[in-house]
Amino acid sequence: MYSSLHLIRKDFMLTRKFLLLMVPYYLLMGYLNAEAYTVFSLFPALLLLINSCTIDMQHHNQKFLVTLPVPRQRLILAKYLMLIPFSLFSLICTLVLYVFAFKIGKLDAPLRWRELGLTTAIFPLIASFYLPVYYWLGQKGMQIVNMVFMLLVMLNFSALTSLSESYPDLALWIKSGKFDNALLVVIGILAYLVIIYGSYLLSLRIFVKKDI
Amino acid sequence: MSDVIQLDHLTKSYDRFELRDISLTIKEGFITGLIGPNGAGKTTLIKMMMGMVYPDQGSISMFGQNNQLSQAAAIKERIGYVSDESIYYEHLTVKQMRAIIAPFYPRWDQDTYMKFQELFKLPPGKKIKELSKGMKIKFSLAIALSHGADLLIMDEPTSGLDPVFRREMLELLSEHIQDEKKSILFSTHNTTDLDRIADYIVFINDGKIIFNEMKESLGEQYLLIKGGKELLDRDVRRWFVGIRENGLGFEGLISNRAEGERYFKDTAICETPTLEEIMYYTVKGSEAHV
Repeated sequence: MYSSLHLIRKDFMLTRKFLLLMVPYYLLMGYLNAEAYTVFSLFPALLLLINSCTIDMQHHNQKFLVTLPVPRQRLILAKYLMLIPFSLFSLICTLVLYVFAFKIGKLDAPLRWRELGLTTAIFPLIASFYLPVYYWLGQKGMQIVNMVFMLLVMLNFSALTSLSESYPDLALWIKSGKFDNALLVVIGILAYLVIIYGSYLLSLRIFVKKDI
Repeated sequence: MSDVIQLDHLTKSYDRFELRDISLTIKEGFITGLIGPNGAGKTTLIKMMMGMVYPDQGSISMFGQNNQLSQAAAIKERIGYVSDESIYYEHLTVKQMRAIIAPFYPRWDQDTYMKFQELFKLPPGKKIKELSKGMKIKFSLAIALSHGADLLIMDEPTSGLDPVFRREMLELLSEHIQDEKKSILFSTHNTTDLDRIADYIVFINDGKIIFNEMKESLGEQYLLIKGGKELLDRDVRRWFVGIRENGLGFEGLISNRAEGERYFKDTAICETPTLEEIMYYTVKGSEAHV
């Protein structure tokens, strides 16, 4: 299990400079569109994931990874576990942005924490589609895939709005926290977990026996 | 004397290349040189040992353990790998890269690493991408020698090295092997390196193992003949592994030294071939005429 922690640490070391870029990003976005702060918990997390995956793929770096005394399964597991700190990083930065904007009077409404939580939770879902494609395509085609996923994320905000419109229960929950249909919630959570776990299994299947 | 690597009937097919039924053992406590021309399959073979490439058929055992997924990590702890390509993160500094690698190895010895960092004059603050090819190899070597590896697997480690460090590195490897539990597998097409330090030679050509012999025994087996063309007729030509002819005469390699000496002793110059000559004539085969 320690090797997973070392791999996560490695990803943070690799993306260290990119993490610093997040400071001007949050300042700029907070200045331009502080109202839409909930979406800021998604963009940076995905950018960090794409960045760490791209670095791992460049310059024969996957060869380095498979020469480490770590089973390939652990390399995959670490990438999926990495979604948690990336999500937390984005969430914390967004919260800091909110508090700051609130203090200086740029925002006056209470924190839309349910919307924020939902947006944050979307990141592992998107990553569940991204990671198998990443392991499948390897270096070839990664740039295109990265662009497609970035576009998807940019469309995310409007998608979230239309999702709320399509599912009034969801809109109600975001606004008031009330949700009448408990079964739907359970099904939704289960589906969410199944997608992530299925994605992990698919990535394993692709990568474990792949020639590097 | 146990086998540190055992390859059993390995095959691997690509579009234009195939490794065919490779069976091979590498002995513990020795330096084994893996030679062959470009594209012979040396790197593919090493990649299979390192778990980068999977064989279509056959099995790989290392340290007596089957190199399957479940055991691969424990096996790799005992292997130091040096590649001719830079496999490290180019935008990191030497120090940062070391900091990433070290925790993965329970037997990591920081003092040893610092010793090699100093010996190789590795600048800790310099980015990997700013290092010359030789310095990158030195860094790989420093890493490989700092985690108590029992087996060093080196893919073309001397390419890109200046002659001074090249010699130093060979001396270093000779020192490393003084511990009889350590073994080295060293692929190269520069056979003069192996003339200096190798105990065993594995020769691979066109995806097949040509031989796996003690270096000393090659001299007892092969003979290089230089003589006039009048010595060659159709039957005599068949004795040669490979032959090169020019206006002055011929030069050819025979794999049965005793027979070659008996026939050519008085009529031609008989010499013990170098590894390069064995490799050259074997690769060229009977089509080595100029």
